[in-house]
Amino acid sequence: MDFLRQLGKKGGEFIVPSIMLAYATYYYMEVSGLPRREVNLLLIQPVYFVIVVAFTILVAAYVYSLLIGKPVSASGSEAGERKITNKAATVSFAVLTVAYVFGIEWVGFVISSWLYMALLLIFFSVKSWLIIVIFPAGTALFIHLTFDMWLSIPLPKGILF
Amino acid sequence: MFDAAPILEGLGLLADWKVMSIILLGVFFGIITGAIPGFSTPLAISIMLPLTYPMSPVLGIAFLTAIYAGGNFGSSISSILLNIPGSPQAIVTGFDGNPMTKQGRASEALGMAVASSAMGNLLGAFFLILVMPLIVTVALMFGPPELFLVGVLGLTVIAALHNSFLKAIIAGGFGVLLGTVGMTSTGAIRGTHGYFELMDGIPVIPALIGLIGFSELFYMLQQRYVTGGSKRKGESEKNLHSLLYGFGRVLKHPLTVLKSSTIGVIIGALPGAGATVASVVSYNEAKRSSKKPEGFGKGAEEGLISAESANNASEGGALATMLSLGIPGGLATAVMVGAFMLQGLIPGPRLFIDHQGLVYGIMFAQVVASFFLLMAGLLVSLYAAKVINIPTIVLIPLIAVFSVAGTYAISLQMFDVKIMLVFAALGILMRKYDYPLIAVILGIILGPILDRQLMRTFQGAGELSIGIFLNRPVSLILLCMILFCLAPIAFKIYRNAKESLGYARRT
Repeated sequence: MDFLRQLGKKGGEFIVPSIMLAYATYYYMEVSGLPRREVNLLLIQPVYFVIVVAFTILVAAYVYSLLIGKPVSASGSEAGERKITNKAATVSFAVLTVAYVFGIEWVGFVISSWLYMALLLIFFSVKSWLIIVIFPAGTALFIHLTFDMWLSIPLPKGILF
Repeated sequence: MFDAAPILEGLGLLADWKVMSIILLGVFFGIITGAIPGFSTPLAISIMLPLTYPMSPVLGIAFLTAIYAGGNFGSSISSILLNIPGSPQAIVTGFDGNPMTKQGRASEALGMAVASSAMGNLLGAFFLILVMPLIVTVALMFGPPELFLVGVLGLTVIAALHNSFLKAIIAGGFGVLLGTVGMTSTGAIRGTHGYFELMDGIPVIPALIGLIGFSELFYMLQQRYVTGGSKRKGESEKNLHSLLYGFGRVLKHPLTVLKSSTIGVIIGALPGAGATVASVVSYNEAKRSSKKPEGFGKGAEEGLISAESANNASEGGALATMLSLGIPGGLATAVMVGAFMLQGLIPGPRLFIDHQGLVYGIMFAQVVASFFLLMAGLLVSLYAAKVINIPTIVLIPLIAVFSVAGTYAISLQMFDVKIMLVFAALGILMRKYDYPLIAVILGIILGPILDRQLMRTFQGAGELSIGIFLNRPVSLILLCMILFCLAPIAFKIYRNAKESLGYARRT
C-alpha cells in the first residue's frame, strides 16, 4: 500500500519521459509507413530503441528503489524539482504570453507589445505608473525603430500598428 | 611557403582608418545583436550584407567577419547573465557561466568570456594564416562516416550532462528524433504534420529560446533578482575589477585555451559541424581531462573557457574552408560567400591564387577584430553586468518582448514564435522534474548532421556495417575518441549499480 502511495506521489516524474516516449513511438510508426523504410529509419530506429530501453530501465530502477526502500527520486539527481511559488504571477504571465503571441498578428507588434508589457507589470505588482506606462512604450518603440526602421526587418503590423 | 609580397599587400589594405573603424563597428554591432535572444550571428550578417555592396572588398568582408566575431561573444552575455543563450553556440558557455552569475561572479564570468573569446578568435586567425592548407587537407579527409562520428562525439556530452544518465539519454534521444523532422535528401517528409514551415526541420533558435530562455523566465519570476533574493552589492568599480580578474584567470589556463581553440578550428573547418559542435566537443574534452571534473556545470572556469575559446576559434576554421574550397561550413559563412559574390569574387582555390593580397587582408582583419573584441567586449560587459541588478519583475517583460521579436525576425513568421511557446511549455515541465534541457537542444542540433551523414554513408557503401567505420583511419581514431569519452560514464553507471545492489543486500 505504501509502495503504491509513493508511486502515485512521485508519478509526476514520469510525465516528461512519457511525453517523449509517446512522441517517439508515434514518430517511429509514422516514418515506418513511409516508402524506403530502411533508409528513413536508419537513425530513427536505433534512437527509438535507445529511448524505449532507457525509459524501461528508468521505471524499473524507480520501482526497484521503492521496493528496497532506498530514498532516491527517479532521477537519482541531487537537484530535484524546481518549485513555482508565485502562482498568481506565473499564471498571469503564461496566459498573457499566449494571448500576446496569438494577438500580435491582429493588433500589430508595437501596440500588442506595449499592452503586454504594461499588463505584465501591473500583474507583477509594479507600483510606479511611470514604469508601467513609459517603460513598455519606450521598449516597443525602440524595437520598432531598431527592427523596422534601421535593420529593415518588418515586424507584424496588424490592424493597428 | 609564404610569399612576402601578398602578405605586405594584405597588411597595406588594413592600413586605412576606414577599415579599422568598420571592424570596430562590426564588432560592436555583433556583440549587441548577439546578446538579443534569437538574433543569431548569421541573421546579423545577412542584415548587413546589402550595406557591403558599395564598399571595397576588404572593407565589406572585414565588416562581416567582425560581426561574426562580435556575435560569437555577444550571444554568451545573455547566456552567462540570464541563462538565455543568444545563439546555439553559447549554450555550452551557460553551463558554467550562469552558475557563476548565481554565485555572484557575473562580471568575472564575463571577463573570462571576453578573454577566452578574443584569444580563441586570435588563435583561430593565426591558424587561418599559418596552417590553412593543412586544415583544408585534414577537412578533406572527413567523409560522411567521419562527419557522422563527429556528431556522435558531440552526442557523448549528453550522457555526461546530468546526474541521471537515463534522463539525459531519453531527453537527448527525443532531441535527435526532433532533429530529423522535415524533408530528407531522399524526398521523404517526416513528422511535419502538414506544416510546410517544418519542411526544413524544427527551427533550432525558436526551440532554443523556448526551451531554455522562455521557460527560465517562469522560474526567474519566483525570485526578486536574477542572482537570487537580494540586489547585488557592488558598483562599476567592482564590476571592472571583477572583469579584469576574470580576464586574468584565463591566462592561468593557457593549455585549455590552446587545446579548445585547436578543437574549435578543426571542427569549424568541417562543413556542417559549426561553432556549437565545436564548443560541445571542446567542453567534453576539458571535462574529461580536468583534475576536477565534478566542478563542471557548477561554475568551473575551465568549462567556460573551453566553450568560449572553441566557439570563437571555429570561425577561423570555417573561414579557412570557405576561402580555400568555397564550401561554407555554416549559415554565417554561406552569407559571406554571398558577400564575396556581391564583390564579383568567387571563394575557392582561384581566390587564393588571383587575390592573395585580399585573402591575407581578410585574415589580418581577423587578428585586428580579436583586439577590438577584447576592448569592445570589456566595455559592453561592464554595462551588461548591471542587468542582474534590475528586478526580475521589470526584466521579464523586457526579455519576453525581445525574445518574441528576435524569434520572429529569423524567418519573419509567427509560426516560429508559436514553436517557441510549445518548447517553453516543455521546458517548464522538464525544469520542474529536473530533466536536462540542453540534451534536447543538442539532439535537435546534432540530429540533422547524424541523419544526413548516416544516409550518405549508407548510400555511398550500399549497406551499413561497422566495417565502414573500422576500415577508415580517421573514423577509427574518432571511434577510439568516442569510447574514451564514454568510458568514465560506463564506469560511473557500473559503480552506481553496484552501490544499489549493495544497499539492497544490506536492507
